[in-house]
Amino acid sequence: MPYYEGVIKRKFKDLVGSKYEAIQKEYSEYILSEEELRPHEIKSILLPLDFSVTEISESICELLSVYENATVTMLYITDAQIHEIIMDSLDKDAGDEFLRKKEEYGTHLLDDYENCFESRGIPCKRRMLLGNKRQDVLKLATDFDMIVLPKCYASNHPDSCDVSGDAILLAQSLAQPAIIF
Amino acid sequence: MLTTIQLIALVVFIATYILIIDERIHRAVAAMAGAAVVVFLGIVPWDSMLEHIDFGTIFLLMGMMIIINVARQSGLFEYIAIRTAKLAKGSPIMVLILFSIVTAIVSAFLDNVTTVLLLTPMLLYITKLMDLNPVPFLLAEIISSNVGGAGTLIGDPPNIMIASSAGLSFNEFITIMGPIAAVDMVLVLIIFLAVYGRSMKVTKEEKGIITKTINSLDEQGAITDRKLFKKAVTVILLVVVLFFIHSSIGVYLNVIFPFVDPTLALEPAEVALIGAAIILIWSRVQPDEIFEKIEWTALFFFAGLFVIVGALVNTGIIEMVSQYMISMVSNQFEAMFVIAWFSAFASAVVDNIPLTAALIPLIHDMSATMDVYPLWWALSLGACMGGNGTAIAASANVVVLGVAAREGVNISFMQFLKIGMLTLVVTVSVGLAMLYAMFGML
Repeated sequence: MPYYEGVIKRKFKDLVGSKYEAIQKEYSEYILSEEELRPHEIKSILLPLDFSVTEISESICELLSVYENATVTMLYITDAQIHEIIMDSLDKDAGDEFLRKKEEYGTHLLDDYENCFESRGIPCKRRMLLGNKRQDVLKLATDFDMIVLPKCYASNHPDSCDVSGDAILLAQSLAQPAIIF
Repeated sequence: MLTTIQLIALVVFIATYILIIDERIHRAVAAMAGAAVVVFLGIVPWDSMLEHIDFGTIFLLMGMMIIINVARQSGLFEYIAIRTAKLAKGSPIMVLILFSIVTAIVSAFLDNVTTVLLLTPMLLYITKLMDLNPVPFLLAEIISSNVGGAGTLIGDPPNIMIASSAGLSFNEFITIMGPIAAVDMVLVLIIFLAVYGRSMKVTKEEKGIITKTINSLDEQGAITDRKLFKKAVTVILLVVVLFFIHSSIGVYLNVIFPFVDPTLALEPAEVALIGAAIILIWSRVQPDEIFEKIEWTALFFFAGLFVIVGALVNTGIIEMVSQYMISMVSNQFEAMFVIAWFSAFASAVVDNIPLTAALIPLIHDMSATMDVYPLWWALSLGACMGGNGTAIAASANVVVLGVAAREGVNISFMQFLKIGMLTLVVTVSVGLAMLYAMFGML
């Protein structure tokens, strides 16, 4: 019925115009794409964290629970460059104090995320390192099937950022599928 | 024998309606071109042109478009879609029932096109998760939108046009058409479960996976602006309350402000425009952004139709048809029967908006010889339920079928016709029987 299909197409175009494309874009932000709907392929997930993550996202825990049998590795990174600058410009004690505070925060954050994942039956591992927030993620990412990035990852202004530059750059550079939340 | 002027008016009317059905030219352009011809030839003189355009309909649609477009920006519809999906708990039958009921309720108070445009992507997503044929779900959504829209004055364009022209109130619609829409909605669900119920089976394991995936959707994340969301919901509720009391608002206002005349009544269009003004002031949304989103093509389409039908009124064609109808029917019972069934089947071919535009002056003309009050309800029933007859009978049908086609789901004309005609016959039969009972004709 080519005539019928043509009429529907014309009427749809006249009634809806370009509204549907805008709606599709809005929906794509929170419903899974075809690619994301293949959970069996994802066995290992990397979740980089840093001090810019100020609260636990229950929705990301819920989302990752879809990937059955996948292990989430939480990786808390403290910026080694800043640590070095503090050591050079102040002294070793100030550097150690900086590291201690960041690691203390990181431990709390990892504890909270661990609870969030375990309450949903998601196996998880935790790591903490002093390094480069972008380069280390890129290096380690090769061992994982998917990377999940906090939207303000590595941002200096987590309260006012929409999406951090590092989160965008990582998502663009990674070969694996990435979710920014 | 028709005079030349009558013949021209009739040819313009028929040609425009064919163009509207075919849509090779945009329906608004077709209606405006037809209107231009009758104005140019003096069949509808410029001075009387504005009298033919029903501004009650135009402004009501415009006000509701403003409210809906502001509400849309907050993510309200996406929130409703996700909440509905979660409530179904992975059961296909529950998805069908809940989406149908939610579509019917939202369509009863908001624009059908926007409702289905925003709910269909979610429905397609869920059926994809369930690995089930989406066609029954989409058909149920279309039919529910048309049935739900029939229940209120603002639910469907034919009702807006009828109410504005005949001066019917929101409460009259909800007390007469509301129960009919509710009963018809139950029947529609029974029909769908009887026809498609067996094919909607998933295993327990699949149900668990579906539930888990749907639960991972974040309805709070769908709300793009929390403050705007609350304001939009508040204004929509306020507008619904105002619709309920629009015909007796003076009585309520007089209690608070004694200087207000207790006989004061608001037109439905005034309510919609007041709601639009409130939401624009309160939300602080840029008005130019919202005014751009008003469907001007739809408003010009309506205006053009009113002028073309005005040409039939001016040339006496409507009067001739009305005289013929009166000679064919001997009482209100028969007139209601003819109007309901004619408008239902004609809507299925023409689209219920232009059909209603043509039948309204006809019923006005019949008022010289009989009480036409029950006939308005027969027209409302036929035009709204007739929208289910074919794929092109109502705007909601075209929108859902268009979205489905874009996503690779094709619903054939015959596939739609089978369930659409069955629904049309059942809903109009039951609705007409209820109307007869309400007006003491049974």
